[in-house]
Amino acid sequence: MRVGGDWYTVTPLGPDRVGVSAGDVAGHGLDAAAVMSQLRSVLAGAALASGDPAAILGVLDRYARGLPGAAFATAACAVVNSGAGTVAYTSAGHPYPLVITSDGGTRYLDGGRRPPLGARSAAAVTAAAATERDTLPPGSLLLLYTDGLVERRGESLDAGFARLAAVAGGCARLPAGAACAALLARMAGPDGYGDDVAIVAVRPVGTSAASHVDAVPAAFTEMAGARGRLRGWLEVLAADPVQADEIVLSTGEVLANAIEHGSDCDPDRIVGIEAFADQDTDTVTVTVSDSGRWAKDSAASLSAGRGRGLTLIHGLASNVRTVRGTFGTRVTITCRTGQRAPAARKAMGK
Amino acid sequence: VSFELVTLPSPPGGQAITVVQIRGDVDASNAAGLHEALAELAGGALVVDLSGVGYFDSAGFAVLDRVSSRGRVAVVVAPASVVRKAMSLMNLPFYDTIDAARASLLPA
Repeated sequence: MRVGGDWYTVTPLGPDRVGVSAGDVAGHGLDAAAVMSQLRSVLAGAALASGDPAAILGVLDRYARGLPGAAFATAACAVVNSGAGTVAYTSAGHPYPLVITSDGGTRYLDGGRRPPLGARSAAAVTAAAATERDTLPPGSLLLLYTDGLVERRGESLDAGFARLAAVAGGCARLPAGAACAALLARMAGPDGYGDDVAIVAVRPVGTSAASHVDAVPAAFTEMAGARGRLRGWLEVLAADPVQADEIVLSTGEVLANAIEHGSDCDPDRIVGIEAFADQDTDTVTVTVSDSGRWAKDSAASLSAGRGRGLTLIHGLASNVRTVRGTFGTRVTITCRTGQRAPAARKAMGK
Repeated sequence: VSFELVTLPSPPGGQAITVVQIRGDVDASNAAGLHEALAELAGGALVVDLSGVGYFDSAGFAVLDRVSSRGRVAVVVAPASVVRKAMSLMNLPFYDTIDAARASLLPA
């Protein structure tokens, strides 16, 4: 088994806010992993206590100064506020977080810089970077990663950043989990990666004309609300009402499966919904992600009723794709929207 | 989510067939309640009209299947109903109108 010093964390801080970090301890192997594990815990604790990225990394820095092996660890820390559509962030000697908007635009968050953690030089100790703020529009992805993703032998770091931005732009409309997998696959050099890599992507809950993102506690009683929010978005899109009903029903079936089979109906687990509209093809693509492995899924559960749900999903959607991975199960359906004429769309304020 | 069952009056001199309309939404959160309510009514011949539901998913169809398999039950889904396509995908028998469903339950 290979272990290393790269990490990421995701820490829920409230209904609209989540803290996210990526970091890298110098060195490799078990020692680096042990230091990493401590930094990660302190970082998550500091995030729960403060919620301000500069303050969080300030705590981590002070802790790192007393921890052998933690000197010159780097970290980026961000707090996403989905209600406000903003991200607050700070980086301690770490590669810039990247914002990928749903139209494929990319923007590095290159403010809020401070030196690596645990450095003892006077300049480093007095450098208290302020938290920087930026917008995170609905549908966009916030990507945090470690330098292994962008570094390649014989290539400048700037070339690596440019490559990441170009590749990431092509992942803009993938569900967050799929975007991470695609980035890992597409950023690898001819011989794979020369260093450890950690990567985490966050897509905030919110709705725009082009996208709809929702987070649903895994309970059947939460389904009606989620369906209502999806329906509201389809109305903004001016989807044909009959098609909208079919999209809501097929999504509802996938959601019910994710709650029952992917999450054991545990309301502390969250099911993600990421939907994108494609105006060119008059379709919407809806991805439902859960954190489970469908362990109790069996032929018995199929005959008991899930088969009926699958019949509906496949009968109503033009395309269904299921990916089961280490981190959970992701079902993506594509449906026609049968949008009304452009004039009608305009009248709806689109 | 909630649903409502509305029992329609029988036509004068008509056969003892109960006609019930489901309104509202049915999903996995309340399908057990629907099963309970329909099982009570399905002692005799029963027409279940789905035409007016707002949302009806596989959990609801599973209830219809169970209730139908144990009694004389006919399901109605009007052509313009939101569940028409889903119903046709389910491979369960249904009728366009209440009259047609009622007629199907009369002795031949």
